[in-house]
Amino acid sequence: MTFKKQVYDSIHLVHGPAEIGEVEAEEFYRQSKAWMLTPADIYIFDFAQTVKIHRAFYSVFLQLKRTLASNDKATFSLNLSEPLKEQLYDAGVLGAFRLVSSIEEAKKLHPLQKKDDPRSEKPHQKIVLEILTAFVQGAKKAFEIQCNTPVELKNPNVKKENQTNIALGSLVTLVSPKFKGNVALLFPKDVFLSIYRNLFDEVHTEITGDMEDAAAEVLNIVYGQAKTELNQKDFGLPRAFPQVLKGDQIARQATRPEKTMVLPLVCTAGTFYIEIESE
Amino acid sequence: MFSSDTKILIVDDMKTMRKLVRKACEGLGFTSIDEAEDGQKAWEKVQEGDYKLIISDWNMPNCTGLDLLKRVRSDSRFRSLPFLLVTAEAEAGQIKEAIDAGVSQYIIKPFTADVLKEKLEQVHKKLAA
Repeated sequence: MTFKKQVYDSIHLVHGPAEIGEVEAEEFYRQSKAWMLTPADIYIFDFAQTVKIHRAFYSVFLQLKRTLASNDKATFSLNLSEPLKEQLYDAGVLGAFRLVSSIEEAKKLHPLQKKDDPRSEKPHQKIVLEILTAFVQGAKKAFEIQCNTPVELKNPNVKKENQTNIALGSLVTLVSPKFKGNVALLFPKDVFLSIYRNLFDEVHTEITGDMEDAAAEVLNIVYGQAKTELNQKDFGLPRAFPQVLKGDQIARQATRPEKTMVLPLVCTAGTFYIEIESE
Repeated sequence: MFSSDTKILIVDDMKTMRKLVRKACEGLGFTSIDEAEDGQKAWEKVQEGDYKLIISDWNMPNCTGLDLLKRVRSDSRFRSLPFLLVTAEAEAGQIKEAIDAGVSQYIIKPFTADVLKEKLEQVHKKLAA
């Protein structure tokens, strides 16, 4: 048994299984990384079928709720049984589940912006989400196949400050009728040394000129994948040549944190980042 | 399959990709491998080098892989010279453009050595037919 999702009208509805044990909590955590990229405003968790919830679920649920809230998305719960409500109350987490009686009630509590409202920011958000999704998928494929380095997406977030441990990066500028901005890949030193070792079976202790070339080439592959996907949705992205970021250039990119999404990607050597800044 | 002493020219402006393709070719047993870092230098080498196979990136500044392919195919000496294009983009329009220009096969990045081998076998089969 697992969590089943439906997405419609900016609502992301997740149906819980009969029993949410430790395994299901872990599955929830794994699936929720992808849910965060859904172009939805309201996340509703329906527990109509659920009779047991293990306490391991509390922390992953709360973590998802916090991440969604930081991106202006709301979470609600439906159909919690009385015994489960008592259990959650006793654990002090019932309030976080934000119980509602219907989807309509959730909509009233978090009104959706009309998509045809020209003042609405939602179409732009949808475009940004399409871009984020395309780049994440492209990165996963590029790193796994070309660099022999499987990666997983961690919680995406709006940029707050520059990462201080970045040693190398690459950047490509996106110019499309739908979107203008920059996409950067940013690597801490040890993470990139490990990726390069996986790529060429060469062990190095310092970043070299060849590695700078590799950072740009990996972004070129990621961009190619994302471009193919996005141009099927009429983005009209042209060919582009990634540039290397090193030294002061790293701190100077993405100067508007409020317009920059950070997508942390985790591999065995650690975490590196995709940053997408929209103009 | 191509013999191990087939003279190969790898064309890419990015050293990383030249190194990756070279590594994959060496892994397949090829011993005679040369490189060029852009389409113009590649064209100069093609005219003098007696290459039996070109593996070229598409997305290069100045002279793209497609430009190089068109130049190669426009010379009667190289009309049937096996030419593989490597691209990070899989858009149907671009692939059609490459086929129309006479590409022997194309490889979409990211790719593995097994994919390169499979493509080379297909090209060789077509050449032998």
